[in-house]
Amino acid sequence: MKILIVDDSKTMRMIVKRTLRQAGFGDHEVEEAGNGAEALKAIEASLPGLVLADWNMPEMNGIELLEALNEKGIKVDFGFVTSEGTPEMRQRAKDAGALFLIAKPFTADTFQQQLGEVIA
Amino acid sequence: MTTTCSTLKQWCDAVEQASAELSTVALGLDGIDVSDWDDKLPVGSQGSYIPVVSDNSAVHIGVVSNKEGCVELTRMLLGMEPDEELSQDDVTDAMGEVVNILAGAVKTVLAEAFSNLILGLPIVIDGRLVTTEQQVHYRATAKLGPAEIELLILLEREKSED
Repeated sequence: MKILIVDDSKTMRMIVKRTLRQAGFGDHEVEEAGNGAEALKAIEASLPGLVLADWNMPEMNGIELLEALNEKGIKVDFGFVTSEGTPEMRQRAKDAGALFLIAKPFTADTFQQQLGEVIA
Repeated sequence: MTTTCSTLKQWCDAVEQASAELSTVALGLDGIDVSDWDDKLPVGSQGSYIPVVSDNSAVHIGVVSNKEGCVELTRMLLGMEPDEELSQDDVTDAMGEVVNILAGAVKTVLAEAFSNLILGLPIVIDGRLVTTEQQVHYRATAKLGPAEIELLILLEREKSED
């Protein structure tokens, strides 16, 4: 499966990749995008199996990316990996169609629990 | 800080709670000891700040250290060995993430007390903080592994007082 990591922080993209490996998902192909706009182009060019997106990003944030995918009718498994972990944000993510929201800081165990059912 | 400054105390308590989560979960440390808060300007000149705004408040949260402290925080966040090379871009990016993670946890802690808090994008600064008369700042010192840091809260003056 191809996993697309979307975050404007190179540091966080590295941490997400590392945590994917630690959680046992290191065999999957990983691609990266620096914001929602880049991710949208990447998804349109080649559909990933899973998108892991930050929420707050310049140009196009994570929720705007998900809403754009919905508008275009592009079906892709989508989850947030973000510092925004309030109940309100979780509900907003769920309403938009996100499968999960992992709040930073996170552990490999959290990735296993949340992604395990998606990456089966 | 007086006991009548309940808004400021809420922010200070939230930052302390969030810093404990940052230290244990994000950085893999055993915890953090945060000093009492004072109103001194930070001594460190390198760090990151992030705005947290709502309809009736605008707060900046900061994590400040010196160059060596920022490098140590970066190594801890990225799980890097002491001899692994780090670029300035790596440190800048990591410091932005440190304050982003901290502020996200603060927002969650304060979600009931302050509705509609919105996180801005972090900024990384190399230079001393200069405040105005309209601003109130509070600072606490702490140690994250080998890194000596200062936690900073910057608020509008009238919003810090009851």
